[in-house]
Amino acid sequence: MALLEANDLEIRFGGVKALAGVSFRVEEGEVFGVIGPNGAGKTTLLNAISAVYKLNGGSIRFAGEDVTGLPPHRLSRLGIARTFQIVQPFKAMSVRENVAIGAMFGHARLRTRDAWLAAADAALERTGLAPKAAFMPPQLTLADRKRLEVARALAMGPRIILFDEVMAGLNHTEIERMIDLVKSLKQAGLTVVVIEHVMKAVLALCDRIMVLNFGAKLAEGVPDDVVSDPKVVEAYLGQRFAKAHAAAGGAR
Amino acid sequence: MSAPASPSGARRRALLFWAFFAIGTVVLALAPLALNNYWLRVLTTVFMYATVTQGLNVIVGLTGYHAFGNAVFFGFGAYASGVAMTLGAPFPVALVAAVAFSALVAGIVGWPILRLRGHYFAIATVALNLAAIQLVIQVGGVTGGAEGLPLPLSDLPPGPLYRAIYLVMLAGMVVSTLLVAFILTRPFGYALRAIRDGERAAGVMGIDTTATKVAAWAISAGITGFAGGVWAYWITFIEPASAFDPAIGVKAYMMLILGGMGTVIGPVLGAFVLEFLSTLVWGGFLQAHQIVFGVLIVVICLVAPNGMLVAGRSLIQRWRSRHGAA
Repeated sequence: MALLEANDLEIRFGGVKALAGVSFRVEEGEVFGVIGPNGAGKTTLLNAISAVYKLNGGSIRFAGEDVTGLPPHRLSRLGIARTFQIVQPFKAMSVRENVAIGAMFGHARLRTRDAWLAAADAALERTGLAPKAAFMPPQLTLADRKRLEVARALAMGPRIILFDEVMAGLNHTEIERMIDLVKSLKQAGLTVVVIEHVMKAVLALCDRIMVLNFGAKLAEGVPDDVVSDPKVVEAYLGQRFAKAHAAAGGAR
Repeated sequence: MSAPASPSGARRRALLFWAFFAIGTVVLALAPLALNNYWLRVLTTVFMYATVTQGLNVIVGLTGYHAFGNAVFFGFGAYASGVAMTLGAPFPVALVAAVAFSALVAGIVGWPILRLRGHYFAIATVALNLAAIQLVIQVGGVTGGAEGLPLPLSDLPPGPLYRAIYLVMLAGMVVSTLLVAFILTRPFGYALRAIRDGERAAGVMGIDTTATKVAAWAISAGITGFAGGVWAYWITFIEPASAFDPAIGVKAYMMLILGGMGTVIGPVLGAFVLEFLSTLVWGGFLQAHQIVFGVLIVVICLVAPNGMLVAGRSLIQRWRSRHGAA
């Protein structure tokens, strides 16, 4: 059974269809990638799933239950966590408090202060932020602020995490570290959806990929099939990537 | 941005703060034994504004929702207590009515309008303030309508009565300040601060943002309504234009900015400094006090845009780093 199942999602902004009937399934324990050119509707898709935007059509099932139309805080307690592409730390709270908020409100079971702080510390440890627990968010580098987003999501004890471009703006070393972090989450049994432009990360992480273009699904499948699909090369990747990827031996 | 303070240092500072707070409360509670009527009235006014400002602090300072018309609950509180007393309720019951009615209005009105984000809410509160004046006038009857509402006179002689009102206002200031301090230690307080700093993130992290905002506004309204309820009994005659005077809200806003938004003691400091300043300026410049006062406000905003607390803290830090002490 799919953990997350989206059927015919539709979001309109005025006359523009940002999502024009997108359907997909994410299986338990897999890393599912969403790629596509700017404006294709990737972040809109994430906002639709996490109920930041209201759906104009379609339905969402999570763990077998219909969750269409539930407000964001209800989804979070069911086990859906997300990060924001433009990081949104609570700037007047320490890093540890930021993460503890996730455990305090987004976790379905934790009830005591000690449990919240323990969950926060575990998430900080996992993301490598523990040494900076007492920092204020404005003191962090961008890479650390992206990690803070991940830590906050982890503290909620989610079943699925939706990552909105956690690699964007990071340098090579930082990208490698973030890839390792996401891999470790998959190994721990979490289901992950990544929206990403950094193809290196997409190829290293994803079990399956969906390509969006103009608010509709252009292709879906295992990474090697998708990146050699002429439609995808045409719309997003470009010939240079296709040639380089083929030269590198396709399957890495 | 300073390095994170050590927990023991933070605890010592908190202890010191609450010791000062307790001493200040005791001194102020005993002050009526020594004060003349003029200073009694000035201080009662300070407490009243401190309470209103603390109410404003809950929705503006903690939650980050600007409510320019928040003093509407001062009027609702005044009228709720006025009507209750006219109907024969004793003063304490009338005060409960003032708090409950104000909180109820905020809850009912807040449920639709707090779904709006940002400026729309601020404007809606102003509209609510204006609508309230019309409402009281139109309803008439027990509210006295446009003619105003005289409250039943107390059996107490003026001296003890004014001292009693002084103490009730003082209690309003102290309790509302303690309430804000308490809220800040609870998950509810964290939810408010999370909404202030990033409402979307707060929502996806499991905070029921609408319910939390409505609760915050109801608390804010209850505190403000308390001040209005005491005020009505104090001046014994209320009318729509004075009970719903937008100037009350403007003054509370200045006090909040001056003292420091989102801080525990800022609203109290702001009320003391601004009210004393305005009293002194009034005495010193009988002709031009409005102009002098206005210039003072502008200067304060330029020198300490984030409030006295923040300005004071950075002054202390600068002094320490210059003198080499850690």
